Amino acid sequence: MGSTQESGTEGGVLTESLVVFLIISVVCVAGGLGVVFSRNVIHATFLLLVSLMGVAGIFLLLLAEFLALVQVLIYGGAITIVVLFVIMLTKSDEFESLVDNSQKPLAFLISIGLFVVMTVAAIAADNGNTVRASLKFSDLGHSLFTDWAIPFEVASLVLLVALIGAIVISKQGEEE
Amino acid sequence: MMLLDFTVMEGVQVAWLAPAACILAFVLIVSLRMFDSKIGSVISIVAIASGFAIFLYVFGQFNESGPAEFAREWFTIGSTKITLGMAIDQLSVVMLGVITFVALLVQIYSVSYMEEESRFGWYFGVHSLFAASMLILVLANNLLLLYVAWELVGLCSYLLIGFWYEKRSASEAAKKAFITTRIGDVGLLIGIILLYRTAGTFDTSTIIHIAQEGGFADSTLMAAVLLIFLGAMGKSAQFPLHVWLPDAMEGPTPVSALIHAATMVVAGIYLVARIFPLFEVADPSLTVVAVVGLSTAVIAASIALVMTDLKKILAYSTVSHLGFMMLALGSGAYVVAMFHLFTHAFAKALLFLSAGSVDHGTGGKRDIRQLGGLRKKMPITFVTFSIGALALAGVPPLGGFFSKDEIMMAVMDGRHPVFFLIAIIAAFMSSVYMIRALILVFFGDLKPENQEAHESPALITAPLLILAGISLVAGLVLSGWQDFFNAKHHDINFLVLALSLLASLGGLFLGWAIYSKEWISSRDVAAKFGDLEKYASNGYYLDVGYQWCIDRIVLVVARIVSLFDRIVVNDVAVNGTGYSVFLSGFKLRYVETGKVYNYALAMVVGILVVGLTIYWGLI
Amino acid sequence: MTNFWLFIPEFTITALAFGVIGADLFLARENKKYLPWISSIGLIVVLGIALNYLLGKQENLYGGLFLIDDFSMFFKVFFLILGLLVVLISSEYVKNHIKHPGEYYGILIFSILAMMLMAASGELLTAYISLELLSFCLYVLVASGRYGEKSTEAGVKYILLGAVASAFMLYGISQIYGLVGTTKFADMNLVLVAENSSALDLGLIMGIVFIIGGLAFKIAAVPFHMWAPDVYEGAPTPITAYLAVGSKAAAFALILRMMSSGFISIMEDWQMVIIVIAALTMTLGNLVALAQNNIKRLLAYSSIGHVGYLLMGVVAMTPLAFDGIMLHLVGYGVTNLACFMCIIMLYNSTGRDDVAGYAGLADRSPFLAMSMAVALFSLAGLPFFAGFTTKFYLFTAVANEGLIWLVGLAILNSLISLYYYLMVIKSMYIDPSEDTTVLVFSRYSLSVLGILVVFIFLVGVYPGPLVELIQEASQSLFSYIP
Repeated sequence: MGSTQESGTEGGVLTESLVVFLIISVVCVAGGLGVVFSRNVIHATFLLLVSLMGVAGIFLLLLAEFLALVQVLIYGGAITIVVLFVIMLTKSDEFESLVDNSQKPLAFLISIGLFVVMTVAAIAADNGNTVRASLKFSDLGHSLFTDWAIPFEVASLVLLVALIGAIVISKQGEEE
Repeated sequence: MMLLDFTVMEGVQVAWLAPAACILAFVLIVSLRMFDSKIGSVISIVAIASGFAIFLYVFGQFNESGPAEFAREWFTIGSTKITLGMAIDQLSVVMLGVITFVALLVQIYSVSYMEEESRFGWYFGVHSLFAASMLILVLANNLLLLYVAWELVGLCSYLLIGFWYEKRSASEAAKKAFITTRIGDVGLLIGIILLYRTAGTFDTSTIIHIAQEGGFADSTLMAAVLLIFLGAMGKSAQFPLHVWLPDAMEGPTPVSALIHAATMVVAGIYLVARIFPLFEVADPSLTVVAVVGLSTAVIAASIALVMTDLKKILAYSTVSHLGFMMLALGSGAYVVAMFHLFTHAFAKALLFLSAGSVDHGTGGKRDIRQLGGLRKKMPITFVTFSIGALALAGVPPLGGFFSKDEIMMAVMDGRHPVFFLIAIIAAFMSSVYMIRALILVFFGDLKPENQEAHESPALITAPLLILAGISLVAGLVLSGWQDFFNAKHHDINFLVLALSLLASLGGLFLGWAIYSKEWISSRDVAAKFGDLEKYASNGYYLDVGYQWCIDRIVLVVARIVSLFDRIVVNDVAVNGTGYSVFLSGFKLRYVETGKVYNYALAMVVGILVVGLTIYWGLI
Repeated sequence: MTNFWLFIPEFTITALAFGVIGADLFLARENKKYLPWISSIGLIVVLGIALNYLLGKQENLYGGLFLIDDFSMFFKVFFLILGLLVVLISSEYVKNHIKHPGEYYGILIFSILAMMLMAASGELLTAYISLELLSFCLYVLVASGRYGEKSTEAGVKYILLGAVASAFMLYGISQIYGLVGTTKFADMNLVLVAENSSALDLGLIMGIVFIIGGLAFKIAAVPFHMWAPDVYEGAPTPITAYLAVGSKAAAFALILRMMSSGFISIMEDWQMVIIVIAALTMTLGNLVALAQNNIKRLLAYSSIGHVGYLLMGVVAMTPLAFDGIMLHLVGYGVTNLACFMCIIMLYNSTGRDDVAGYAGLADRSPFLAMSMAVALFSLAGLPFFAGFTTKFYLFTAVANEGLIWLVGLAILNSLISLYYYLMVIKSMYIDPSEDTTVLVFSRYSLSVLGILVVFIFLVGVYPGPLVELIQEASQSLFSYIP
């Protein structure tokens, strides 16, 4: 920990990290597309898991070990499981037509457009000197509870409200 | 001029008590919920009477001490102090007198005229509010306060035209009046803000001072002045924004007399007179004023010739005379315009109140074809109406003669002779329609259904007689008037005098010949003019045109925009069923009306368009 | 060492929210009617504490994460009073139409906290998480209608689109952080000034656009406005009022803070775009409002129109214009609450919220009709009422920056708006109603409505003290610019 590493490309030569990055990216994107295009919800959920794990890989590549860990634990573990539970408790065949809508071609064009713009922006951005550095867990914890205490505490309230809200809304339909 | 606080209660500064009394009356009537009670009228009349008393006192003080301004801070916009301030000068003193006096008489008249009405107290409450706002309008020393009062009188006019709101036509007319005058107000507000931008103040005298020093860019001042004039056109019913005034006759007749003849509609004239130096600096603007005034005078007069509803004749006559006043302003003679405003206010209030008396005495008849021969049944009303009509026709030595003659001279002096000739034609028509109304209502044979007609009670005739008396002698104050305003006396131009007299008397004679003696058949005359007569009786189809514009342009644009909004937005409304989420079964059926996709897509498009626009610097 | 006393309003209001939710657990069903009283008294106490401890303080906590100044103080007070009024206008509606009053009030109070945090945050992440708290509260509140499938539908729409907007914002923040290296507004400004912003790169532009897009969603500016009519119509009516005033004001507070202390150096590149958005927003809102026949949808579009006016102030970017925005938020807020109070009262007794349902209201309840007319006149910007004074201040401030044509357009739009407000008034006073029973309202609702109407006149006639407060607030905002 605490090591630093220079950025991916060096004079256009493929480095190991770039290769790894490309592989992980492909996994991520493929997983994401799979979620969108899959007609079966269960499949979609597992593809989502693939995509989320890919993101964890990218975090690792960026030397953000903590985030990678959290990503695996929370998204890979908790959230996907909850989603699966919910799907199993409901009739999954209701979702057959989820991806049908008439604006698909337009949406496709716009998404491509946005993708191109953001890619151009990323390439044009002058960030050649950026050095990847990893952070001590303890430093992260320290800054979360000191400098960033407010957003951190507010985040807990967000979760609380979400929890209460979920209960309130789901009990809405029940008669007294 | 001194800038004093309100708290100083001496000399002309007590003027602010006049609107304050009326506001107090309004607040009392509304807060004590005296909407149906008779006490409302007492409170209101006491308030306006004390307003008139204050005028008398202020007038006396003014002659001794001269103009003054006083103000109290209201709030600040940045470093600009917005004040509640009042300016006492010749203009505002005159208006103070006209408003309090006519309002007092009209309110007394209303006690009897409106006694059958429910919401009697409400009627007087709004009258008080109107009087207060009108007084603030004329006393205001800054354009912002003037604008506030300007909108408030519009609101009161809306409430009073729509007083019989159960009547669809009344409330439509009220809405039309409100919206049409507001079109002018858009211009007025932009104009005021334009002036503020350069001057950094709303203070009228400061703005005038800056303009005279050349502090404004020519184009700015020109634009501002013309925009403000647009506001004046709306309020003072100048062509082509005059269409609301005839419809406003749906309101109770005393309201027509007060608001739509004597006071509110002259606010535009007052406004132009108030900032007259600005018009002088932005020179060609006065030509616009003159042209608008002249066309209004002549067009409205031609319509008045063919109207059959007594109040509509009077309404178009009001429009025409407002045109004369604008013409006088446009010819550079604002003192003359104010003088005509003064004589016209009394004469026209008199005519309207007499028309109301006719209406009252005959059980609500206003169509001149159904009236006739009333002079024996309603002698007092007949006399007062005749005085009013002759005054407006410009018969010497009544008030209207002097003021009209002054206008003609001013036009001759200040404008091309063509203006003068057209004005003479308008004056001629004005005589014809006045004598026509007089003859058709009061002379000829009494219609059998009008046998029951009777003279109105004293509470109605007393104000008529007072106004008639004033109309008789109003012309005599002319020279005093000019002294009061420090204006120079015109030398009498006998050519102008002769032509103007010829126009009035000739018009009267022609009218008498057609409608009384029937030497000339009115049908033949009408036939001579062919389609023109038809156009005139339909107000030259301006209403139809405007309606068409609203239906075919504004509403269609609104539909297209909302259609566009609906292509992406939900069709009719949230429909409930399509979107229901039953969490018990976790059945998300949002796909069927899946507009959410469209909304989200629109957002992404928005982001992309905005981002690229900025990047490429497209705008 | 951080002085935790400076957080006292936030702490107490959080405690209040927990207290209300907790009290709900222990109160018997018939005693739940005390919840609004607990909430309102609690809010008054918080207000008192805030005024007592923080008035006039100028502090900067956690290195610029959290700012205490006149600006945030103004909005804290504004939001607390707004929250109090929303609790008051909710009370009867909640009794009849909401199943979980404890959670309703508790979450309402949490959302006030969120808005207070938004106005006080001096940094993007804090702002974002506060916005998220606000959004979650509003999702729940919108969907909390008891019987309405409409309400649930509105909730789903709001959640889905809100998630998109929130993703925009987060993406924008990451983009900005990646390129500028900070999320604090003040530091961002320094970097941007140093970088000679004449040639902005695409990434930065897109980052800012994403953030603005997220906020534009909250204020419902074109083309991010489409959710508004649907959600306004479906949400419980007090929440519609709250959405129209509160979440908008909070988003504007954040926009003002962010623009003035973070992006002011690059504002010139933006002016034209925001001008176009402002012009489109006000024109579209007012034109489409002409074609509406549900009163809540009509007010939704009218509120879109008002957002257009407020955006003009953002374009002008002067302390004066910011005064105008804040003042108009107050004037518009009071007026809108009064308007919605009328809608709630009518809905509670007749179940109608279409314009036709207002037919003959003048005879059925003269006071309600008159209050509604006052509120609508104020929305249209007639003098004497709050709407004129605040709009006028805003327009003048914008005109001062030379945007005369834009102001002209705004005034023209006000004229259009008068037309459709008059349609409602006409309906109340002229159209005959099938049902002519006289409506009777509780003393409580009448007095709440009365208070709001008095406020409308107060702001309209005597705005002096309010204007002074606001001027101090906006000055403190501009004092961060070096």
